Amino acid sequence: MKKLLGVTGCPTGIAHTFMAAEALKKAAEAAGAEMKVETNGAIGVENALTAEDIAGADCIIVACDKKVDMERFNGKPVLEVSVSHGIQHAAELVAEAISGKVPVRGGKAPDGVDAMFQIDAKPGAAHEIYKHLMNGVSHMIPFVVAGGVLVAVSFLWGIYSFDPNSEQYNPTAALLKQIGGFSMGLMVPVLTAYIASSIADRPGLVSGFVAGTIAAATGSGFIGGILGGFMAGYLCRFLVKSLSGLPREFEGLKSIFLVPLVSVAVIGGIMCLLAGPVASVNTAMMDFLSNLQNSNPVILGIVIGCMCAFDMGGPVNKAAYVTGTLLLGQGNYFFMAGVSAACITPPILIALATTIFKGKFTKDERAAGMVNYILGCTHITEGAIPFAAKSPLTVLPILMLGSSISAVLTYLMKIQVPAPHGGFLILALVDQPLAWVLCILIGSAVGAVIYGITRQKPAEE
Amino acid sequence: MAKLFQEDTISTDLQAKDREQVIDEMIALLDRAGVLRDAAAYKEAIYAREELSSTGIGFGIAIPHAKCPAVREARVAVGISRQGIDYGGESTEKVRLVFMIAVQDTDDDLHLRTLASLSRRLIDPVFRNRLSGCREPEEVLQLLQEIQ
Repeated sequence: MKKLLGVTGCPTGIAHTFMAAEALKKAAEAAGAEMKVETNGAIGVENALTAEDIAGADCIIVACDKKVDMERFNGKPVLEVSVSHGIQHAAELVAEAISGKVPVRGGKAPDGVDAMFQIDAKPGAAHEIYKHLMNGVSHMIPFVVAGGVLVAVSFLWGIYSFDPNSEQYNPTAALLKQIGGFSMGLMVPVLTAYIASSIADRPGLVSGFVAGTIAAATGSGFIGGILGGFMAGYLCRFLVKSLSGLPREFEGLKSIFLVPLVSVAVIGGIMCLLAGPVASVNTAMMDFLSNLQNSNPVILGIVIGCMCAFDMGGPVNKAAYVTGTLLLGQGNYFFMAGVSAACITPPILIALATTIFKGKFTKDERAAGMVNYILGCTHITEGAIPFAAKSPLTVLPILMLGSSISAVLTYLMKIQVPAPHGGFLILALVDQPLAWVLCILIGSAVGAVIYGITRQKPAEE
Repeated sequence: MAKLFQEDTISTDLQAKDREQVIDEMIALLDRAGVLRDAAAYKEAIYAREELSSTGIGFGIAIPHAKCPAVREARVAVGISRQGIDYGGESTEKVRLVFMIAVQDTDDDLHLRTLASLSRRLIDPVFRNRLSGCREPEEVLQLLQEIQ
């Protein structure tokens, strides 16, 4: 039997989406084919196509008037039509899809250099978990950035400026620190809630927020939050699924009463029971990392440097960055200093190389190099990607070396960076700003010289 | 259960001949029933949706719809036309069934799910025929109750 897939969607997503889905299914049934249809309606994505579905499909019919992710269908026969075409000509579409004459969409899945930066394109369980985790992280980061910078700004008045009993006390500073604190305080709950909502959509949010708040309050921190997020998400997904047999009249009861109540009670209970053990794991890990900072700054610096420069903004880089921000939330300002230094180095390194070795770069590359000064100063590692992409095997190790040197020096100098982003814009908040810039410049300069020497002259200007 | 369909917003004898007229007629129906906060703003939203692509979707059905703050309570007005309406759109077939959907930005999933299942049912020709054969609002209401 032929296996077909469908995707339907329309701008408002309340009527056409579902008519098209039904029409396609009916038509497929009539033609003796198997069909699964993903609806992108106002309720959200339902019946989402999995990587497995797509891999096993003979053809995919996309009847959509709004943007949906098409990249996932690369290398598959795809029919793309408007949603109303899908409603009216479902039978013809299905016949065409079954005929096997549908052109294959786009090139094959990304390969070569691109694939290096597309680790997240791999399907499978690990990718799923990564995706959910990143959904939490990406929602969390703005809270940390806003809160972290506000708290850091309050330190401009002095590190004790929030304390009414201190000589440094300043009401504005105290207010800023308080606001920043509230924003930072939402860090774990938001992380947890959006991990859960990535798994179970809206129903997951409720127990996710509760689990995160418990994790934050009981000291099990972000490890507890991540655990809670996944538990809440999968429990809600299970609840929604197991309650799907209920008659329609109970639909409202289910979504506003049953699922929230049961999931919050269960997850809340588990989180409270887990609080003790997880809190000790959390403390142990924090201690381990801060010990590493003190006892083995060189090893830590090399690891962080290599991670940050390895895929520039990709998952490996993010892992280091997220650890830095989480530690920041727990009052460890040393760790982030090295991460920031390692993230700032690659673009600066590139920029320096294009300046020092003018003759070895094309005009376009030199222009891109100038832009990299700005990107580097603002902690945007991605600026170095175009250069690395041209010859990853030589450029990446150089970038990793440069970043490692910057990070190692930063850890050796015990520099503190209290804000999670901003590059040199937050220099005023760094406790040894000159030393930090110097660390980064040394790493960048060493890398730039090696890059410049190893690079071949461009064939033609 | 949500009262998405109600007798005072069902017309089994639409007078309109074209799209403009039927939109006006249906909005008047909703407005009279007190469903709309701001009929003009709602009309604008309806036309904004029509601009994107015609909601005349073939099978003699049109579903003009808008999700906007000008709506007081979620409602679906149902209109049946005896002589047929020139609705434009991809299909040249005359429109005999009109569902005008009014929902708020904040409306919960429940209404949306009802609309989803209505939409799915409309693909069924038997259901469509029974609907367009209705003479009285009560009959329409009864038939629609089936899908909830």
